[in-house]
Amino acid sequence: MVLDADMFMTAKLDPIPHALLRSIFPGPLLLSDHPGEHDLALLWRMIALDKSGTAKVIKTEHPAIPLPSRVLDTSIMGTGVGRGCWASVTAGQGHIIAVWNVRDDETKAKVEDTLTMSDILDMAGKDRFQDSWIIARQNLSDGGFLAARSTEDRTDTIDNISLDRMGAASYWAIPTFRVLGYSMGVLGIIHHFAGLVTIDSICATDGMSTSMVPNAAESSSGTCLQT
Amino acid sequence: MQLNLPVELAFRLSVRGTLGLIVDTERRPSLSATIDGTLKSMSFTALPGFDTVESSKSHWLGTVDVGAESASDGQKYWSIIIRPA
Repeated sequence: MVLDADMFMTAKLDPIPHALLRSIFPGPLLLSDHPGEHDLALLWRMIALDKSGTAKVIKTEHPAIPLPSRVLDTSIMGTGVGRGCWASVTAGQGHIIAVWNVRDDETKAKVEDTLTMSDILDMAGKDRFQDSWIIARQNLSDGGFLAARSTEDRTDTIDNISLDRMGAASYWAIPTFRVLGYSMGVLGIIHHFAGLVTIDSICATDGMSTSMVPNAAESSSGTCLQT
Repeated sequence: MQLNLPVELAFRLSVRGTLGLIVDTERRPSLSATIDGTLKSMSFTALPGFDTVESSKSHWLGTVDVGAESASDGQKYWSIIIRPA
């Protein structure tokens, strides 16, 4: 698989890993479907209706970029077993980190890799992870989530990943709030590949004070709600 | 003097769909969502941890559908408040 953000087909040629990539890459959503051959369910995981009823493409504001510590990893190419191609992007309150199998298609080369806390810190910076965050793995096939853990666990290994040909995986990292007696994080629209971007600034009251987390995206801003 | 402030999580959502939040707790949470003033219950399903972690803690995925019943009211966002059910 070659990772580019050009046209893709929703109903043919492994659409899910392509849809994931397009969702974390700004710009137009370009489809090369044959007439009448669309996967509308997949398309509706990339677009959604706003309050006026207008369809919006749900994409991140900035492009995903390779993880700095992995950018020179040549193991992502070739035959046999190797590592995956990782990229991350800020999205709403948190970050999306994704991995694809870009190894030799012809030989059905496989990815065996591990997402670590070092990758998360590499992606977002240590300052942003002084407090508790939740890392959750998306269910790319159907939307929703497969597993989650808190950064409070303090173990470096987060998830072991095995990706066959054209495989991909996606994780959301979100800050948590200590409120209502719980530690909780807001995901956004969970069936969309980039649903994190749909949440505006979050405001939490814990009975004594109010805390607010601004959007991670540099150019976004939000308003704190008070009742 | 201790103030009796509401204990809640408030935010805004830009598009309709299934809103999700993750709660880090051992027991099923009991939370509700107020969406533009309308109270809705949230459903929770347990999320497993990753295979690499041995943890006694559970995570719960809470969901609520947003926007299906809303007509345009001139506002750009749905205002959502999470409170105890």
